[in-house]
Amino acid sequence: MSKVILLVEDNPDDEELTRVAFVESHIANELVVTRDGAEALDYLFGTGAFEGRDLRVMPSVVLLDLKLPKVDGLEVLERLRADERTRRIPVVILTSSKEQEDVARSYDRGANSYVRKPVDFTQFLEAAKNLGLYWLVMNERAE
Amino acid sequence: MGMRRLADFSIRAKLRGIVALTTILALLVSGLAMVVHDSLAFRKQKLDDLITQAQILGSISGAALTFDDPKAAQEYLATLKARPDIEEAALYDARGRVFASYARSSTLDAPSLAEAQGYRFEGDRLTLFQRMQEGGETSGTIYLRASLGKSARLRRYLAIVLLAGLGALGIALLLSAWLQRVITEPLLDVTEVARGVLERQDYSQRVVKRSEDEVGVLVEAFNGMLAAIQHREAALQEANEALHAEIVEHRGAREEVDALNQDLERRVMERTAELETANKELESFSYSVSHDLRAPLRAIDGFASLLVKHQSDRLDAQGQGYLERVRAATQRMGQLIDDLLRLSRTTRSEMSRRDLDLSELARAVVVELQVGSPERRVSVSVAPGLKANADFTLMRTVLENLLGNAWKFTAKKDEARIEFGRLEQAGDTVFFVRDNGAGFDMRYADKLFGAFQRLHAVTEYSGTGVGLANVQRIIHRHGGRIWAEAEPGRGAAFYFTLSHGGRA
Repeated sequence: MSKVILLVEDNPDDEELTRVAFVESHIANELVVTRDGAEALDYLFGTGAFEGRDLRVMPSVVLLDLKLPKVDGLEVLERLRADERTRRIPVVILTSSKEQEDVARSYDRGANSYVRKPVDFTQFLEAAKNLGLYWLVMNERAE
Repeated sequence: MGMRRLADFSIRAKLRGIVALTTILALLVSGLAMVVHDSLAFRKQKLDDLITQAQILGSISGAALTFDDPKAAQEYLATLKARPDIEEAALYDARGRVFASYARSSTLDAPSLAEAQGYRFEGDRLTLFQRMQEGGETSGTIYLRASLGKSARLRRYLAIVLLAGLGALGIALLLSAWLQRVITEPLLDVTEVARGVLERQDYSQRVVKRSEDEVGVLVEAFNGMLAAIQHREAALQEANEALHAEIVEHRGAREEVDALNQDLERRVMERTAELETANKELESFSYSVSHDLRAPLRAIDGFASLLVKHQSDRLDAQGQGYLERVRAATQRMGQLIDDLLRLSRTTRSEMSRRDLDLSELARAVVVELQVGSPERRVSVSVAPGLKANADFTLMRTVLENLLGNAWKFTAKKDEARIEFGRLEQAGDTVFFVRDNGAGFDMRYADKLFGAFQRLHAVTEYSGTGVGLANVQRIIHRHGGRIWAEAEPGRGAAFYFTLSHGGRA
């Protein structure tokens, strides 16, 4: 079964760059993109537009932006960690900010990793490649 | 109610008691003396009287005895009826036998034989035997017995003493009443006034002085005391009023101060709230900057990069060069945003001083610099044991910038040297970072610490011009100063102090 990556990202530019970065890094996994926190939660819990989704398929990793419309990243993270079905899914905060407060709050709510999106696309490519390699290949997830 | 103690009786009663007791005692003693004296005198007088009577009887009844005429003798004896006190009488002949006798009452107890001459007092009676002499021989004996009437006399005496006593007591009581007026009334006056003072706290009353005796002295002393108290009370009252006025005044002043304080507090709170609002705005601004400003940059760089990578065959060298410039500018913009955020964080962050080992911190920074550019060979000298009381994170930023600058500006030197040390200047502890790098023209030294001010071309040395501005802010937050000395091509030195705690 192919491993799914859930990208929660409201900026289409960032979404496109992330897609390109994964392609360039030869990461062929299915990339599910949701545009805000609410949509992400719908996908994860099979509600709203994702009503009836096969909930046995859960993402191998969630790439979560912090600044999101409707429900922000930290709240999505909290809801994820509070639910039995999603509490063990690895969550990588992938965001522009490296404010210490954001980093601390993310880890406090159970983020597994915090990666700042570099402005330099070369570095961005590198980061995406490392992320894919680590979370999809090296990391052993709980079944 | 128990017995009242003597001391508790009023002076009036005591005086009356003393006078009465003294009078009664004097009367008793003098009465007793009179009774004793009188009874002794009376016995002597009675004896003399009875002896005289016996002698008279003897002389008139001598003939009757001589002529053996008892009848006549009897008549003589009967004349004793005139003497009611004589109860019995008898005449004895020479041989002691009764010749004639007399008894006031019907029964006669006269002894049947004459006794020897003499007398005796028996109870209320006096008995007398008197010898009759004639020609040197005893011719007979007269016997007389008289009642002394002692109890009657005693009763009379007692009555007299009692009457006299009552009279004296009456006089004494009158006397004591007068004495009372003289002695107790002034005392009662004092008492009355004292009670008034106690009950009404009225110290204006005075006792009228009636005499020059001890009570007079007492009255004077009492009045003096009242005057003193009145005076003091007046003074006290005055002081109280003054105090009260002062308290009122103070209260007014305090209320004013309180009002001012409250106003001040309110204004401080308003200012604090404004400041907090401003701070929050600044924070949310920084937050937005860090999130939102970088996203477009990333897109520009990302897509420019993709163009270079995948569409390079459609672009000539110039087009590719422009795209590279777009990327460089984008990355520089990203760097500027990061530095700007760092600068704003320096101002906002909490500062907590503690004792730091700056030497240790400097060595750690140098190690990082060396890791960042392993090809560099720089001779770094850090003076050991440089202590300071300062904020750790902020001091780390200071040393990162100063040592980082020194590292950067010595890049083109063959024998790069960097020194971190300390010197004393006018009692101040001054730390310094010195290098033998590019240096700068002192004419532009005033621009050194301005944000985004640079003294070197970007193409020559990288950097955004935020670092030293940041350092200066940190030094100022510590209450210290920072300045620089430099010469182009010969190197630069940055000096700084750290107030209270920047100690040797």
